[in-house]
Amino acid sequence: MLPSYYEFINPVKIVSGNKAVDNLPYELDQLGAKRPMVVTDQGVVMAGLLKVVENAIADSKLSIGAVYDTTPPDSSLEVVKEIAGIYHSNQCDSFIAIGGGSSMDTAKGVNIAITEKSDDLSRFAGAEMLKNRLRPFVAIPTTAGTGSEVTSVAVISDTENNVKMPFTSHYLLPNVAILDPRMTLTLPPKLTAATAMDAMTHAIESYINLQKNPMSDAYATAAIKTIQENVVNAVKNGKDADTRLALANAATMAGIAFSNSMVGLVHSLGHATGGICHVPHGIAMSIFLPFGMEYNLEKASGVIGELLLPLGGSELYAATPKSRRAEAAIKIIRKLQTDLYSLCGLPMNLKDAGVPRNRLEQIAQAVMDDGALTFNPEAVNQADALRILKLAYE
Amino acid sequence: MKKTISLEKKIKKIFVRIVMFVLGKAIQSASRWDSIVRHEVARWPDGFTVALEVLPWGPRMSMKKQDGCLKYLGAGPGDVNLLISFKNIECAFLVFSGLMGSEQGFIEHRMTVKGDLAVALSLIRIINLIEVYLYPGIISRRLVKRVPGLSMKQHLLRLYIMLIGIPTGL
Repeated sequence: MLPSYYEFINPVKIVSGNKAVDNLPYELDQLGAKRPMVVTDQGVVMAGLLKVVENAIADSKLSIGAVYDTTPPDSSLEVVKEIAGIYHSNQCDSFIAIGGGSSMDTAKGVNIAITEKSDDLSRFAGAEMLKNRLRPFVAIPTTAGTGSEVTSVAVISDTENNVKMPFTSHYLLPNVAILDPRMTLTLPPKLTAATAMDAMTHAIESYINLQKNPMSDAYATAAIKTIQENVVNAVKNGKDADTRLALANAATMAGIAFSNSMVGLVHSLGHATGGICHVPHGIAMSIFLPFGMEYNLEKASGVIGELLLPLGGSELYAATPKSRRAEAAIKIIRKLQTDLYSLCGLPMNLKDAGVPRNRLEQIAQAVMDDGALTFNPEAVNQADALRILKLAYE
Repeated sequence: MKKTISLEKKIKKIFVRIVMFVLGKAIQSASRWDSIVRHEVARWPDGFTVALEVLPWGPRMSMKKQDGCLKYLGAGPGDVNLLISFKNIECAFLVFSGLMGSEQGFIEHRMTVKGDLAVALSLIRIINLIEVYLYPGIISRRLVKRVPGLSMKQHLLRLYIMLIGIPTGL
């Protein structure tokens, strides 16, 4: 059924395929850029991925204005300020963000600071606070999970005041996202599994929650099917370029889906657990996903049941009575959890993820402040959140 | 070309202006006496200002956190910390007439938010509760995801808000 009203946006050009990074100079030229700044992290450098980009730029009329390669795991205002200074002093005119969510978010933050000519990024925190088109921005993800290459969000930490500042604006959508299997070939098995489960959660939550629409549904179901078909092989055989490219595409599709229909309870639980106990986001998503689906069964069993088709295939879908499809879909997610645990030790509960039991109450309280709850089909209060946390504990 | 606003839209604007007044006064009163609203407002920075407006020319209502409570300021100051803008009068009418919950309005992009999203969500939770107080159960069940069971104290508070809170803001 169509929603009574919805909005959808995805102006990001997707460039996908083997050696797609070699198209980077052409794409930057199309955007009118001449001296891009690269924002990345040490993991990318150590894996030799920065070299892939530098090689592509070397054989072009462009020149890299500056490289910032020490982006920390949590983007912060200090780092944004430092990079903005480097951008200015090297007369850069555009951005290439290479990495996971942190490099992308940091580069987006710098882009705001540069375009708005302001050191005080907090003035632009919140929703739709940007009024000016930002500098050209090309995103090259090196994990298949966050979807930051196609989302209109950036989260930057204000370490002085100990708060995370969210920025949402369609101006934050990159101009181009380049998906090249070479950029994810070196991702270790556990990180491959965790980031894929992050993407799976983006897709499933966007399909289940209240802002779903036909466009986001199409991206979500395609992402779910692709992840389900490829994640185990990517963990077992990380050097398989086709599988890597499939997962990169799935993460991008999931990103487009959730950027337009948002996420829900699973992300609220994950954000709170990550904020308090520093559980990596993908691991938290993997742990909470089946519990989030179960919690929403009463309000959304119909749409959860529809997910059996991309998750289990047409034969299983046809053989399962409509009333049992939602439970069957959740069962497949639990089976995937077990498979990933045995293949690479991806934690299946909060205890294994290192969460002390005495922090559950605090996490439940933090869940209530998370915006994603608004989009969850079922209402959630603090007692509900604590109950799920206890169920997910061991 | 001379632009003429239809009578229907003019009536809707008057209706929304009245509901904004009722909502503003009800929130002001509830922020004094309702423990849930007080708990929400306690986490807002002191002096925080918020406005709800209909683009492009209003109507508009604003509130300010003052002495731990929310004070209704009428149309209020131009510059506020949190601005929730309905994209047009039709969007505002849906929400202010009880045809659609404020949360659903947010989900359907009927409004835009400029400012702190956490406070915006807190405000939506407050408006949800006020809707439960102001509307009969048959309507409020359509407007919020879960209608909380009201205690005897809350039923009395509901009466107080309707009879004293809205006319006086106390």
